[in-house]
Amino acid sequence: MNIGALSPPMLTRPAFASGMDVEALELSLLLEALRQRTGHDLRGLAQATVERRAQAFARDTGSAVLSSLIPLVLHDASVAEALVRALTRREVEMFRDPWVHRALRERVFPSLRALPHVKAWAPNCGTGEEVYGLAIALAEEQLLDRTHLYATDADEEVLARAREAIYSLERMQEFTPQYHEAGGSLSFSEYYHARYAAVVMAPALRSRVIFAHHDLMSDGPFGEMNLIVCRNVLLSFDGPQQDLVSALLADSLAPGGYLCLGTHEPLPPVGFEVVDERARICRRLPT
Amino acid sequence: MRSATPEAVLVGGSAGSLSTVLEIVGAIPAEVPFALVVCLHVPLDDGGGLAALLRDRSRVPVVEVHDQQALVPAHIFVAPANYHLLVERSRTLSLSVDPRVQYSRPSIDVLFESAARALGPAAAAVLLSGANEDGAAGLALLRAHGALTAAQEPASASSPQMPRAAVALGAAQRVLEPADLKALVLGLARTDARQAR
Repeated sequence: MNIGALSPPMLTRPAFASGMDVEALELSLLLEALRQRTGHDLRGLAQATVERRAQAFARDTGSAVLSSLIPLVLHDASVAEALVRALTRREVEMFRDPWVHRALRERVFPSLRALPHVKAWAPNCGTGEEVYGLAIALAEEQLLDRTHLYATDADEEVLARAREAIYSLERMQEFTPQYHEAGGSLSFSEYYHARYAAVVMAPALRSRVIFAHHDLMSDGPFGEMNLIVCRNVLLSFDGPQQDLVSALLADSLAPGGYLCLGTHEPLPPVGFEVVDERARICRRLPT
Repeated sequence: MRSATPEAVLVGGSAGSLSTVLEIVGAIPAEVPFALVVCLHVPLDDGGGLAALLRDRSRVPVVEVHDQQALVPAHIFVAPANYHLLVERSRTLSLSVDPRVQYSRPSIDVLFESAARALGPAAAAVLLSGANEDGAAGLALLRAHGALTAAQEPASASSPQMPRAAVALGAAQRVLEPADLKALVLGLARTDARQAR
């Protein structure tokens, strides 16, 4: 047998012509390695973003291809942990889409005021900016004192940073005009203390937020909430996982409870009435 | 190996690209066999304005992308302001609020790189006028994955930096004036019509 005659076509066969998407295989093997080594099953995340983040992580560690991360994940717990964090982290802003915050104040808060106590939840709070924005709005509408405001995340280290509530002064200056667009009526600087290039959120806000561990991918429903603000969290998951998380959110709402999603996330198909379609605010119907 | 008709034609641009995008969109026939995916650097308060503008010129449905939307032919998909737009291997479109890339969200690089991995030779892409280098690296990855790639002739662009960066990277197989870019996209639509007969 003439091996020389056989091998060149094998070597030069392009990946796509062979029907084999090697990069997809590498991603799948890497996620499997993470799952078996760390217990974190990230296969339900939106795959294109996961792949993009994994590629960036690979570049930063000097790895040319995703599969060269696999030995690192298998043998170095700190790399595995850092990769899980990189793939699951959530970027949050204090007042993204300020007009949505205004819609919450105008169309949701008035009916919360009728309740003796309010339970509100910000799942996957990340480093906390968004939940402090919510706390500010609740405070200005005289609701914060009787609100149990829960903020949860699956990552303890991220939760610790959210609790510390230390942000760069530069970011706070970006948030300042948005605070006013969001309906803020005071001076934004009253909500934090600046020191050099960093700020810490005011104790009156920090003490009102209850931070807790909760994993939307593996934990169950979270209480009987009157309000869940979960903006641009669903889009971090793929379609099937989104259905599971949506059901979890619905099950975590008290009858009549409000759900606020991201402006380009689909509203739940059943069991809700739409309060503000553009702002993606809906209300759970009594069952 | 390139199939005759792409599944998706991606159009990226920034300053100075809108007139060319409108030209291309206005010429797309109703039964176009691919999806057109448009990613421009729109202002934060666009509020669906770009999609509305394209809808006025288009014979096919124009949608501002919502997360998990299916990538289907004969539609024009527009990246919303302040979100990255990505193509999934499952032929759905997903959105992300990850940090800006090249100072941009949506970033053309993010769209192009995801499409390179998800679609490979089933994608084609056009990079238009723009005042930064977003899209050049993505176009290079598309080319490396077998997609047909084209950039606007920098001399014809009011902001040549974006297509010039793509040319410098060797990312563009064709470097064309706006009228020829439009002809290229329409040609991709016609290839399939001939085959169908």
